Amino acid sequence: MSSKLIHIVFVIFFVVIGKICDGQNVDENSYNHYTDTLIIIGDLVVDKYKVHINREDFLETDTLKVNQKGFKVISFKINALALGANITLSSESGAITTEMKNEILNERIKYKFIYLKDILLQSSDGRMKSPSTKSIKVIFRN
Amino acid sequence: MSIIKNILVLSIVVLPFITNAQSNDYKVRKCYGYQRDSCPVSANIYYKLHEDSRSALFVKGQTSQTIIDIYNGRDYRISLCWDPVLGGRMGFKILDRETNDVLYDNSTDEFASEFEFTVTQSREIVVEISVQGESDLSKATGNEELIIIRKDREMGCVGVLVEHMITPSKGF
Amino acid sequence: MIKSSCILLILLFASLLGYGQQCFEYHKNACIPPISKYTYDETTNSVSFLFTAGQKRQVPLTLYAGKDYRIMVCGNSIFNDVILFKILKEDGQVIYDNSKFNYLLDIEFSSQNSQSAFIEIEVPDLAVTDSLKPKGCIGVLIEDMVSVKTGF
Repeated sequence: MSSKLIHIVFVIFFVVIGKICDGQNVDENSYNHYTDTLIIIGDLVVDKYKVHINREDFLETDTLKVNQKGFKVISFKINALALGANITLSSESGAITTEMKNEILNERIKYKFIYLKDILLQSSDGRMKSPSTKSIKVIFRN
Repeated sequence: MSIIKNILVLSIVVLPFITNAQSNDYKVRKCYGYQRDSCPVSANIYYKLHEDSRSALFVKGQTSQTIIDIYNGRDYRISLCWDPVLGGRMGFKILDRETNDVLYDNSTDEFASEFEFTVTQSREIVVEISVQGESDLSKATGNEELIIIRKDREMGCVGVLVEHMITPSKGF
Repeated sequence: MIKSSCILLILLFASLLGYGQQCFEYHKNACIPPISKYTYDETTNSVSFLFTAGQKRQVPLTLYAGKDYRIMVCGNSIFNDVILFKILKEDGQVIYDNSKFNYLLDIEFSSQNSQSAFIEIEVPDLAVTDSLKPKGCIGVLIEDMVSVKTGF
């Protein structure tokens, strides 16, 4: 009986911890105090033209999200600049593609920043628009 | 009489300082130290000021170059600042000194006034600054023309602040 | 009769001289240049005049390549701070006209070529109620310095 009870307690504990730690499951309602249409990278709401982020946090983000309910990113470009390099990669959804991530991890070039550009958003009823910040400079802290 | 003597002695002591202040004015005239006083430094505390930072007086429409050595295993930050009379944006390129290849052009980077990069190959680079706009000098068609460049409207200081640090490790 | 005419002439001449004396080196005391980060030296071309309202005068100016100049014009308050000041080429072409810049009375510039030029000063013809036009001093302070190198 006591071992069963301990078992149940552990299950409840891990379910609760799992819910708390699930960073991907962003509640879009919690960002509704922003009146502008903003992009979200992981947990970071980008409300300025420039943003500083750890490279790992950016690479762990699968999809760019929007702070307004019902809207999603349907396409965007990444423009990466480094000394002697200038590359533009496209995504036909909000997903940061494997190609984009590999380029950011490029040992030979070492990009210190990228631009997120030409971001296109679409609502659930088909309306299209751009975010309030048309171009975002993402500067990697490391 | 003693008052006159005191005044004379005081003049002899003070005069060298006054004349020294006049001769030191050359530093002010050449935009000396402008980059140190006006260009904002990086918020990253690991960056240190590089000795190749410099400033110069520019005329509208003028382009000029300066050479910097960069080394493998280091990160650099080059930022610009300038007198408002020279306009709202500045052209900034980095070229390989040997091959003349354009390694960076801020016109493809929304005319950013700063650029950070990691060096994977030591080399000499040329930092080229282009002031936007036109002055009577840039519009002149021949050497015989009498050209006057208004110092208050067509000239100003440009600072190039260079900072560097050991490349931090990245990735997982 | 002749004696009294001579005395009158002498007195008139003396009064004119007196006016001229008032303007002697007027530019040295009246022309105070604005604060500048550059240090100039006064040239021997600086000059002061006695001007009558409506008068125009030219001052020769030799410009040298590699030199910067500061020219300041200052005048008696009778001219209401409206003094026309131009720089012209030898052929008369206007290369600077202060009426396009709110009648500013000073200019700093860098000379790219060695050439002869003129400064032209003109004071407005003020409305007068009596036959005598107002007179006043005008000073032209011309200073120069070795040009500051531009670019790296």
